Amino acid sequence: MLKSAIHIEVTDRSIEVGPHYAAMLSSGTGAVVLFSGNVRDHNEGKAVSRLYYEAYDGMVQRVLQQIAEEAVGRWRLARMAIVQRIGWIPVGEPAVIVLASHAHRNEAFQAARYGIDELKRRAPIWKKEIYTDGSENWVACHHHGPEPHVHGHAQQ
Amino acid sequence: MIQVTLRFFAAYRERLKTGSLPMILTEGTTAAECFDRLRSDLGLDAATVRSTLFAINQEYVKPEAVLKDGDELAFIPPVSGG
Repeated sequence: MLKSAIHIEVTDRSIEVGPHYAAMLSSGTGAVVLFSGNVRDHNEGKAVSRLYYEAYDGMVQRVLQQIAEEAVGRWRLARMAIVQRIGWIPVGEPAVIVLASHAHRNEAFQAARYGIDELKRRAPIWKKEIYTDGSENWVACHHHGPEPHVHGHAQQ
Repeated sequence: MIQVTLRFFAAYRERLKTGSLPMILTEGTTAAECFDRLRSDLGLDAATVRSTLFAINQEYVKPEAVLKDGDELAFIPPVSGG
């Protein structure tokens, strides 16, 4: 597998989608799927003003690289990119993008879906929601975790 | 004795007011045993403890993984990226 087929980035700057999309293109590319996960203005009934993202620097890049390598290998992707933004992110802006390119759309859709699902399940990234009333909360998504054989404690 | 570096993130980092701490341990100490020593400082309930994962030198490990001198042990609270 070509390492250059994979682009992993963790940045504290705004994500510009255009250059990442352009980097997916090649003469054999019939389909590019781009997923963007954006900061929305509400969660579980509370009005959100902004989000703070934190990552385990070093480990997060390793995990995202592993996820991308798995996707490229499984679906024989031409290219894949995962870009996660950290720090303060205003409502409406992308916090993460996942791109997959392939000769055909089916594989590109499945691989992009795999990329974002696995990122949410096992990448060491945390977000804190700041609400319009001034309160805040670290978001805990309880329906995931790494593979069972490395899971910290048994899940019910 | 061995020395390891503990890493804390998100709510754990805020509660302990630091992202990193050195700790001296006896040889043979596991990741879970080390975490148990910090439970009261972290003020964690049982459910949160169960959902915490461990990473040694930036790789997920089982709770019974044994620490070595110089290891970096991270306590990974439930993740929420994306």
